[in-house]
Amino acid sequence: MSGPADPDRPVPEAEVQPARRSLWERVSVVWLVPLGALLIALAMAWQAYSDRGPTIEITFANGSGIAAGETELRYRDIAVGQVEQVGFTEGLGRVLVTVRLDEEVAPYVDDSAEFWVVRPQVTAQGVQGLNTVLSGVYIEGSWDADPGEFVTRFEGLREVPVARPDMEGTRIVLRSDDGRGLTEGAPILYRGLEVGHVGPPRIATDGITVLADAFVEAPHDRLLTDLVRFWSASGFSFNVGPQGASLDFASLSSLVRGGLAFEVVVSGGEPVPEGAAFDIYPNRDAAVASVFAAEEANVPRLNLTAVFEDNVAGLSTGAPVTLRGLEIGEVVDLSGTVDPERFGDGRVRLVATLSIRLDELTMGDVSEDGAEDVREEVLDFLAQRVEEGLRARLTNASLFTGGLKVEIVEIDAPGSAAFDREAQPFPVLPTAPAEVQDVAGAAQGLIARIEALPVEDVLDNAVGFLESARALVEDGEIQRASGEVVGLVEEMRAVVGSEAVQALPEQLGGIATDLRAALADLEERQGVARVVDAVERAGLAAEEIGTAAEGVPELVERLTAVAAEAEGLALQELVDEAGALVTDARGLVGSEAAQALPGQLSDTLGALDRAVGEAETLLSQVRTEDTVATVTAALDQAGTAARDVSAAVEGVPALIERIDTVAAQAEGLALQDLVAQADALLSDARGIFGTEAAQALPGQLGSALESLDVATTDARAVLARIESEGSVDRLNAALDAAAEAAEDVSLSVEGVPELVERLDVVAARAETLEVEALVDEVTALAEAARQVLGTEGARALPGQLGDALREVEAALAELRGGGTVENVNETLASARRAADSVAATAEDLPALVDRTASVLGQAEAVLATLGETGRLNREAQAALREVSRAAEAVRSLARRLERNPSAVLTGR
Amino acid sequence: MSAPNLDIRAVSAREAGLVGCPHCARVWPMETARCGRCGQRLVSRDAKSMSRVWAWWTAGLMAYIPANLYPMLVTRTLFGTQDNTIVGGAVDLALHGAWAVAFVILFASVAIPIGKFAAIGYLALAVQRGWRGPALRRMQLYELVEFIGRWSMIDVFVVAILASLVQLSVVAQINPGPAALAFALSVIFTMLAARSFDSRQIWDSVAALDARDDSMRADTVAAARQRIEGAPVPAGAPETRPAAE
Repeated sequence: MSGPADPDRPVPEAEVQPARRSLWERVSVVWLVPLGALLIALAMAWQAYSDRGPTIEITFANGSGIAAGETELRYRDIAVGQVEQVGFTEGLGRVLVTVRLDEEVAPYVDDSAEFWVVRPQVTAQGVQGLNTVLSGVYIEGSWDADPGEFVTRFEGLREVPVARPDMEGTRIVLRSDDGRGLTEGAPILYRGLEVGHVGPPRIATDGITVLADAFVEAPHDRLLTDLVRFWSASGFSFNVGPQGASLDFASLSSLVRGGLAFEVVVSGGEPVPEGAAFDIYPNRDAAVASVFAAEEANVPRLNLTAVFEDNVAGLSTGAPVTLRGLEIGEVVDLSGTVDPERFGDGRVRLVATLSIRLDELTMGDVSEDGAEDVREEVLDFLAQRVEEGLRARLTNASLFTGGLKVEIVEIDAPGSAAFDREAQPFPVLPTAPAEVQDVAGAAQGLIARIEALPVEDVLDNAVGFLESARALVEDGEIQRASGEVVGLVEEMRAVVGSEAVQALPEQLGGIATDLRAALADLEERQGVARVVDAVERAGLAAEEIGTAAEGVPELVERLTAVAAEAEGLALQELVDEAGALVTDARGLVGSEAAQALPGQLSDTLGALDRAVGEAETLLSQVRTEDTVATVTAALDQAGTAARDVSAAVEGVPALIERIDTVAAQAEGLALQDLVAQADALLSDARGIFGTEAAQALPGQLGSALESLDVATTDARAVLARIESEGSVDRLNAALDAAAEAAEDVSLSVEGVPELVERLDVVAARAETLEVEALVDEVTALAEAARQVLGTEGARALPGQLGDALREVEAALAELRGGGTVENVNETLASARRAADSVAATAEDLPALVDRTASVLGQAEAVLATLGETGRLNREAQAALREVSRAAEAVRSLARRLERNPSAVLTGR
Repeated sequence: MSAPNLDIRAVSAREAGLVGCPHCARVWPMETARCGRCGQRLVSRDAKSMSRVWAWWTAGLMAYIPANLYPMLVTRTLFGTQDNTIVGGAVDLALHGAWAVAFVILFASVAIPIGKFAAIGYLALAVQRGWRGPALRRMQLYELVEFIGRWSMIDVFVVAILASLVQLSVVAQINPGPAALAFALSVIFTMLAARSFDSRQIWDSVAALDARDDSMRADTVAAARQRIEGAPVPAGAPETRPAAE
């Protein structure tokens, strides 16, 4: 019965709920912003986290400069990681550095990786890591190129490793007894190229050997075989030996920072593994020799002891032991011993232990098995030889260094000694006195001898000689005297050179020749000679006849009568007179006056020449006709005078011819008459020559010449005055005087042509006249000649000549008296003495010169060695090139700085 | 904080059926779509505004974390690189003796952003949860946050100026770090958060708290309408409208 709604029922209240708006209407779209930011942040974080590489831990001894979050890990200078944390290991033993690696290098960091801190370092190899001064230190890592298992913990190295894993090459170990050449960073050279380097040295466990790791880079590490030898190339070696001196060093850089060199001595060796050990030899020769030498350790040796009584120094261990010049071993030990029981006194003796190589002595089997037999053989051999005189002896090994060696020789008269083969520890070999040449002593002796030379005395003498020579030369007297001598010589030369004087000897010679010819003819034509000849012939004929025919007493008597007649002739008187005549003539000619005559003549003629010369010079200044005319006249007069003289002389040859013809005619005359006439002639002539007049004839000539000389002197004086005053009149007067003088000369010789003419006439007439007339003519001639010559002047001539000669003598005496000549003699004598001592010294010189030459030769060899080493030049050039490059770099930097000073701050 | 004057009933515009333009503050009747004066859309209460506030607030907070963790300035000198966070840099400065600068940095870059976060968070919470509290103060707080919002960018400006000035190649080089971007984003997000906050909602609670008494409320509402519209409202007829949230 639901009907219409009950009005009493309440209307249910509908639940009204507000419409729920969608989320879209409630939540703003802005919520995307924080959501997006969140997502981005998360994505970035996730990406950074996922891109992060792994961490490794490296321990270092100290962590200087390592800062967390800053220090980088670099590989080949590229940052590949960063230090995140710096802490300590357990116990604070080392610094633990946690490094985060980049993802891309993480696979390569395996157990081959090595890490070290790069700090600024100054080493022999140079300055390293300088950029870390500003940017801070960094850790450098090095690993090989093969990825391997990841290792997380590493022990950092203290310094750069020798063999970096990222470098290809071979690591080797070098051994040396004294560390020679094993300096850290020293280069390893192969043929001058740097192919590796040496690491820090360390002492081996045995405490004796020095080891060092070294690294040889590829591809040169292929060369390393077991037949490769290393030697120390640092420093230089200087050897003086029998082959000369040699200086050797590898290169300039190795000289400075040391270095080792190696060489493949023999090819075909086996390659060496990593870490193989090589010994270092002191030089190349030892290194090469070690390859060829038999293995040292395995050669059987025989040790002997030798006791040397000598007191010489120079034997050292390692000195060779030689037998017959062959090196058979070496001295391995030296010591001294004092054994009064054994030797009898308490002196210290030298005990040397000799190590003899058995393979050098015998050709037997020297392997280990047979060594004992060989040893016994050698001992037997030595015992036998010792009995025959084999001894050990010290001798010079090298003359220059004074080193000694032991030689085993056989000596004569050895004295008795036995080979004690049972001695301990080694058999004792008897010794002989040392034969050591003391080269130093000999050199000292030579030096002492040179010192003892009186060099100072020689030098003093030489200096004194030079001083006196200089005094002599500087002496004014000498200079003046030499000047005078020179002047005299010049004057004489001028005189001699003048034409007149040149002609004079000819003329005189002609005259003399003619006279001589005439006298010779006279002699020939003298009846005396003819008579004597005839007598001789007659005698010969008579002898012949006497021998040929007998009974020719009449002939003989006649001949005898003829001879008597001839003897009866006043031949002797004739000869005597002729001889006297000749003697007189000779005496006249030979008298000083006559001899001085040419001198005076030449003087006079010279004075005349000078006068004429001065006159001519004056005339060159004078231009007046009068003077010229006067000069011409004077010259004409002089010429006439000269011509007269020559004309006078000219007639003589003609005269002589005439006389010749006369003599020829005279041949036909009767002998007696001829003889008588000749006698008379000769007596006359002798009378002529013997008279004072004849004697005085030269005097007349001389007076004439003297007057001429005086005139010339006056003329010269006048000319001098004229020169100083310049007066032409005086010149004229002088010329007049000269002309007068010339006239006098002409007058004085005027008579001669007349005389000659007369002689000529006489000769002409003599051809037709009789002899008597001839004799008369001759007598007249002689009288005339006598007149000519009978003046005082001629007599005085010799005196003048004698004066002149005396002057010369005085000059010479002056010269002599001045002691100059004596001084010269003395100096010459001392010079001779000095020369003697120098010669004595010079005797020793050759030896010295030889030694000097040998030293020079060796020095040449050294220099040649230096020049041959191309490496020296190359190294020097390379160094110079480096320096120049560095200079270039500095220069370019300076230029850039100049252009842009702020480049320092702002960079390029 | 003055107690609400119960004589004058606090009435929100919304209760009075009015809506105010957020831009030019002209009050219009509720139904009006756009402001007649400035053309803005008239929305009485936006339901999504709080969501937006929280979204921007969260973004700003998220961006503030890297702004503090990452370096603000990266200084590259000859000797190395130095990263400075905001706090770290301020501490460094303080340690070097520049106390005033350090204080300024700390105040401007740490205190104020955190304060802003706190303020906006408080305001949003208070409005959302309906907490009691001095509405005037909240309004002042909101105004303060709005005012100093843009000034927080000073820190970024300082970084920008430093970075552009100190570019001395190798000797010294200052570059902004990632924190600068994050910080700028944080400030922007905070500003946006502040702008998204509808401050009218602060007064909603006041109005709701105040007008608990319906009669009082009705009278207040009628009086208010009368004043505005000038139409007498019959007393006793409550006009209810579905209140939009």
